[in-house]
Amino acid sequence: MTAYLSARKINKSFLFGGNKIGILSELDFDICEGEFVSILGSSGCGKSTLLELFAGITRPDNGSILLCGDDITGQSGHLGYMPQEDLLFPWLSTEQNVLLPARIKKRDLAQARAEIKRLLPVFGLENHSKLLPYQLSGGLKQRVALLRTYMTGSHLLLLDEPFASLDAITRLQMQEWLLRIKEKLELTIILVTHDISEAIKLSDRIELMDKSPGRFIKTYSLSQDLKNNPTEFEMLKKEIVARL
Amino acid sequence: MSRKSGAILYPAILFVILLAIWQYLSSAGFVDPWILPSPLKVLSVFKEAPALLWFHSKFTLISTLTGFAISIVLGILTAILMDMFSGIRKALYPYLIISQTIPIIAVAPILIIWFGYGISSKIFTVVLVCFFPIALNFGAGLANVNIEQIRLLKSMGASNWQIFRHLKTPSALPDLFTGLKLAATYSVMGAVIGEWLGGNGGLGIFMTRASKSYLIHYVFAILVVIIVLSMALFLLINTLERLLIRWSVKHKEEYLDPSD
Repeated sequence: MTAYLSARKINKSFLFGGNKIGILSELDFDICEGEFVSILGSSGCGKSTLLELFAGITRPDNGSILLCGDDITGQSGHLGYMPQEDLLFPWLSTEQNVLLPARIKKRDLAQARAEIKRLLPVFGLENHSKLLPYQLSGGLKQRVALLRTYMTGSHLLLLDEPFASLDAITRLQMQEWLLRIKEKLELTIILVTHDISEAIKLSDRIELMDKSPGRFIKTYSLSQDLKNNPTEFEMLKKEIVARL
Repeated sequence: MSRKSGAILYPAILFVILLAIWQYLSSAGFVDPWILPSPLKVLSVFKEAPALLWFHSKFTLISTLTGFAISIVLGILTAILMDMFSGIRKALYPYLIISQTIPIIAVAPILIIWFGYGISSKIFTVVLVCFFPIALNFGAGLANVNIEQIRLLKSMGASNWQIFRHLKTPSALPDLFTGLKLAATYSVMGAVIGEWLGGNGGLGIFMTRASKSYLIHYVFAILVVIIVLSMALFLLINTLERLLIRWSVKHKEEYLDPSD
């Protein structure tokens, strides 16, 4: 199967107080259409930087990023990017917030509105379309943010710890719900997370990342059997903890 | 009692009490009427000379509103330019601060020399006091936009103009209104100071004439007009703010402790 998104020999460094610090080194990555890949690693390993590179917010020092074989290195607007905070605009209603990507991309707004109308129930937001962000709970805000990400028109979503700020119960509900949405809308997802259980539960594959400089050190392909077997689940969790 | 009615009722009660004390002190003869006229005496001016008060108010209103409008345009443009070009911000910022350290009363005579006794010198003093709070507050609002929200829009492929239109402007609107409200309260004062030095009409001129004629109750009546005009302008801006950025006002109210 050919890769949907690939990264080839990515190097990225930042300047800290005049010193060049390498964040990512010779990094390769591939994801196929429909796959759910989680990236796990300790703080500061460059997970979020990698998503920002995919999203085109920053450019790699060298290396290339390919989307369906086309070079999109340093270009934004190709993929759906969702940062940790919901970042909803407080002056816009749910409907207007999720319409934002269509406005930015100058798509036909009537068509986008019709699409949003169809999708609001899928995201459980049909009764909240006219509400402002401050009137929504944390879980609902993340749903709005996810719908906004989907409305970028990309079926590949880059999620940077989307549930980190939620309470434990809402978090579990959102994980279940994300899996349902993924199947229904045929999404491809790259998830950056600190939560090992979340990564095992949701992903088809986990990529483990080392830091200074960041690179992938281990790949775990996850079967449904493993996820359903509590003993194996716990063993894998322990193994990942030991490696991090 | 709701918070809103308390905000009107409490100052109203204080106002009535102070007026009553003032009236008592004056009518009981504790204070000479040429030093502090009684509230009723001040009120009588509105019966005696309404046409004269209106005649001078018109002059002040015209210079205030014109100066205020010019300040809004200049203030907003300056803030936008300073936000877009850091070179302009660095170059202008110290001079903006310096402009505020100059006492307006000291500049007014120079303005009379430059612009004469006509309306332009008054408009200029209004612009001098109103421009700064508008430019500074709107500029701060534009500069303080959440950087993460900018990055989010960038990830969608937004241009700088789209970021300005969809994010920076609405996000900085509450700050713009803070500046507008400050400017509104200063604006009438600015015009009156400009008028003190001379001209054909205006509350400042009327006030100087009244005080030179020892018509102290007229001076007080003019003060009341100045306060009413300033408050009216402030309330107009406040109403506009509530209509335009309900999200911000509501957001604040939502998180206030109801027991306050």
